[in-house]
Amino acid sequence: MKNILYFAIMGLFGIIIHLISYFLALKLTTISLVMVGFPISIITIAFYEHGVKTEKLDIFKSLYIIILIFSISLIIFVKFQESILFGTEISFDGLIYIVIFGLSLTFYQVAVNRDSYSKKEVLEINKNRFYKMPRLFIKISLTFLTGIGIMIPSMLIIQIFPIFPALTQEINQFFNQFVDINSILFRWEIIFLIVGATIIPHFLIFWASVKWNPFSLTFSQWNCILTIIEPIGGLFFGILLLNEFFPMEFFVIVLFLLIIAIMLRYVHEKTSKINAYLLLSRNKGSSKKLVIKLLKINGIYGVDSLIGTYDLMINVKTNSISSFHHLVNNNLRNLKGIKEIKILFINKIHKLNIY
Amino acid sequence: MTLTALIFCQIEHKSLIKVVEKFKEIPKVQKVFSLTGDYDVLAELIVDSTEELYEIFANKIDLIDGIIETNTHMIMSSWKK
Repeated sequence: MKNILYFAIMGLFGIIIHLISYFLALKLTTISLVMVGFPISIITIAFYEHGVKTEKLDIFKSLYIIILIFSISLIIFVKFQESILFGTEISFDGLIYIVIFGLSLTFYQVAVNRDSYSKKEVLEINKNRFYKMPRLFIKISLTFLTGIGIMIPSMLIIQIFPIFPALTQEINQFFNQFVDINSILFRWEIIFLIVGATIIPHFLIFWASVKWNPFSLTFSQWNCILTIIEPIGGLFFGILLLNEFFPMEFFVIVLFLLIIAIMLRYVHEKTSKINAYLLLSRNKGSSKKLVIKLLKINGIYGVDSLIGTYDLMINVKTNSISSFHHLVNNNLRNLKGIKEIKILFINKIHKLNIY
Repeated sequence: MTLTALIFCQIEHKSLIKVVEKFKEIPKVQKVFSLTGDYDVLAELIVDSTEELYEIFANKIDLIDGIIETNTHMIMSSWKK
């Protein structure tokens, strides 16, 4: 039941509203303006982490937030220049959709890894690491389908009560064209969108998450860093390929700022990352159950059963010291079966010639 | 069948780099970590038998200057996520 609710909320807000607002924003404005949604999402996540997860706003994080705000301002400035020069109006609805797109992307990033593995799944992953890949595909597909399941009745309600005329018009168009769904699905652009731009990239992302080198930054940290690449790609596509209005000097400045933001974000993730081994003594009779309970906790990447002074060694990786504090004091100390915890922070992993 | 041993070490003041370098020279050492906490260094060794572990410990690790105390554990099973 908990999972169905998770899929429904993630599907509706994280995927469906995200996709609809993205495409409606593209329809009503320009690609270069819609790219503003990505930095809006990154900034919102940073403030969410600061406010809710009490993560520190260090100098690098503050700097990249300032740079992203400056980049957003530059893009908006150029678009206003364009509307003055060519007498084209910037769609207000389009701007609203961009903000909704940014916020739903934030929701997706924050909520995507909230579900935990079941006991059976933990055992399965330890037999076969590639189990994660079909699991992720099924998870995303179920989330998408559940979102669609909520979207259709929501569309009918909006159609019956036309509070937002522009949206009602889009819904009418959707239902009118729905009878031609087969011919739409088999157009080469749609096939490319489904296979080339969705299935293949997700396959590569899931494969990378399975094969991730445990000595580097976590997969989710790299994922956060590289989110900034998406607006760069969008700007290239819109300005260079589709010839959208954007003076070259501004384009170069925005690109430069976004690249600096990626570097600052990398330094921030690298310096705030916590990597530690925790040695645990456990109570008699809790061996296997405890291992599974530990592996279900977010931030714990591996558990070794030991013979010696301690019974278990766990590898913990978190994005900040406050997340680490939360994991040890709220998750571990509340677990039954743990007698003693010794914390060993990993300062450096010395590379040997074999790597 | 191989055995994985974890050797936790307490190190004398100003000897960390020297000890880490000595560990890196031992062929069966797979990973070396510098730590903060009750122990300063963790070395992971993969050996073929307890006899081999004894040989390495007695002839190499035990002779490294700068190690105050060691605490050795063996891994029975590993779980990853």
